[in-house]
Amino acid sequence: MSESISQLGSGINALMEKYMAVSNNIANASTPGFKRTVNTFSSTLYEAIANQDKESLAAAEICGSQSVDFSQGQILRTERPLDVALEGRGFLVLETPTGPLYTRSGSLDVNKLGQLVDINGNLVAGQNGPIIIPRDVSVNQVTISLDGIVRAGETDVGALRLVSFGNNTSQLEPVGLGAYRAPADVEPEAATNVKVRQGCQESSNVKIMDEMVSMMTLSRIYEMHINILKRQRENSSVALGVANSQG
Amino acid sequence: MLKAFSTAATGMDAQQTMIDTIANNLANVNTNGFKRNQVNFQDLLYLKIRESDREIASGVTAPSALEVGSGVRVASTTRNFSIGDLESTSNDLDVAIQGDGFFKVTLPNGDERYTRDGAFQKDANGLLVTASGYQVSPGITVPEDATMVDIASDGTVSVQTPSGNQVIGTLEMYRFANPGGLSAEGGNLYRETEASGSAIAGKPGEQGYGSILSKYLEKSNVQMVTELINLINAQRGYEINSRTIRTGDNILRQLSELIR
Repeated sequence: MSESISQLGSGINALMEKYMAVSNNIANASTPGFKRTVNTFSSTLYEAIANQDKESLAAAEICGSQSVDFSQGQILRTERPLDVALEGRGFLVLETPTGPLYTRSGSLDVNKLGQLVDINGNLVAGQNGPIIIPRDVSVNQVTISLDGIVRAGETDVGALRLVSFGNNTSQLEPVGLGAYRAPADVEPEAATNVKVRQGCQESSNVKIMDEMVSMMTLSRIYEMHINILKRQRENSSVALGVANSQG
Repeated sequence: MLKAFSTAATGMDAQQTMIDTIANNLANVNTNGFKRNQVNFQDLLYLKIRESDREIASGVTAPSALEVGSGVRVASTTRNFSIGDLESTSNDLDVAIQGDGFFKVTLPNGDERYTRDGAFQKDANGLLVTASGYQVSPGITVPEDATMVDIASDGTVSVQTPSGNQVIGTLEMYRFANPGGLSAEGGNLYRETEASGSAIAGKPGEQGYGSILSKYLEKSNVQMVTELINLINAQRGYEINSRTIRTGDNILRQLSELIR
């Protein structure tokens, strides 16, 4: 019986982790380029069932993990010349002191040296080093073509470096501030089929309706866990009562 | 306690900033030369609870890690310097910039500011000033006996006087490498900052500078419909984040009821 109580306890812990993911998704429902976290509990469970492994079945229930859903978000027009949205499976590369980061939130800016940077001031990588917008051209005259070629007025000033990770996309780790880091053994490749939309932002791919449903489901399952716990306690007190009357 | 509380709180906080910004945009829907503010959200750091590739049972490895995000923050508000609608007026001294650039004004204490609001007037001495009375730089004085003032597209200001036509000065224009970095000072004025880079002077109509349209004013570039849609979104976002907190509260209540 104590075994089932501890199982219920870890079940509740797992539910809490899922609830945290849902609350983070909801908080980021309006964050451009944000990719929602999905609870992959069921896939681990499925694997365990397929393996007919009772032990891992039990473990799977409590160890459900989470992954990032990299599906495309809606593209919204902002008319700001340095907002870019990516259409297709690809990332912009950010040069940071701690190595490259990858992002899909393309709200870009120009720093005082004229270099193209992201909101946090990280350099946005071009095909051949940083992209510099000449001083005598204003940001309103910057055009970015569908394949990422940046023109300041009439002059070509570089092309955005666009990468993709193919089947390894799921291994990217979110580091916050809209960026992802690739594990050491995963190398980016030049992206194909990625279109750059200037004057647009990719909205978050969080669907509020789905998150509300998840939250409701989670709180019902939680309620069930709590009810079973209560019943267990009643049972054990009854058992104790029986034992006492016997004694 | 529950991490979700603080996560949802960051969400509510960010949506609140969004609503504040929209309110200011909407309040300035009729302000000459006003540029709408845009709020940029970003997700906060992630907390790694479990690594990927760990063994969860003999022979079964987890396909991905468990990382929990901690909410959202307002990364920045950027000003959208797209051109607003141009509206025709009948005032000789009204000018709009068709394209990029700012006018420079000098404050009484000598500080310099930049503006796109071209609703100019004459002060008691005939000096060209903005609607709030700040002197347009370089200073242009309209003679007392001028009957008509004409501002050409290249910024040349000429007047008609009983003694004939006469050029009294030229409006100069200034632009910035990164206008988004300018600091808004209120009163339609912007201040140069390190982020914006220093002002680059030029003549209206030159490469990179807009030309001047006389007897026109640039209206605000706030789009009412867009702002209202954003407002609805922000309000719903706020509501749903508060729902997260209510659910969390419920969870804790049920848990505390277990303890008698």
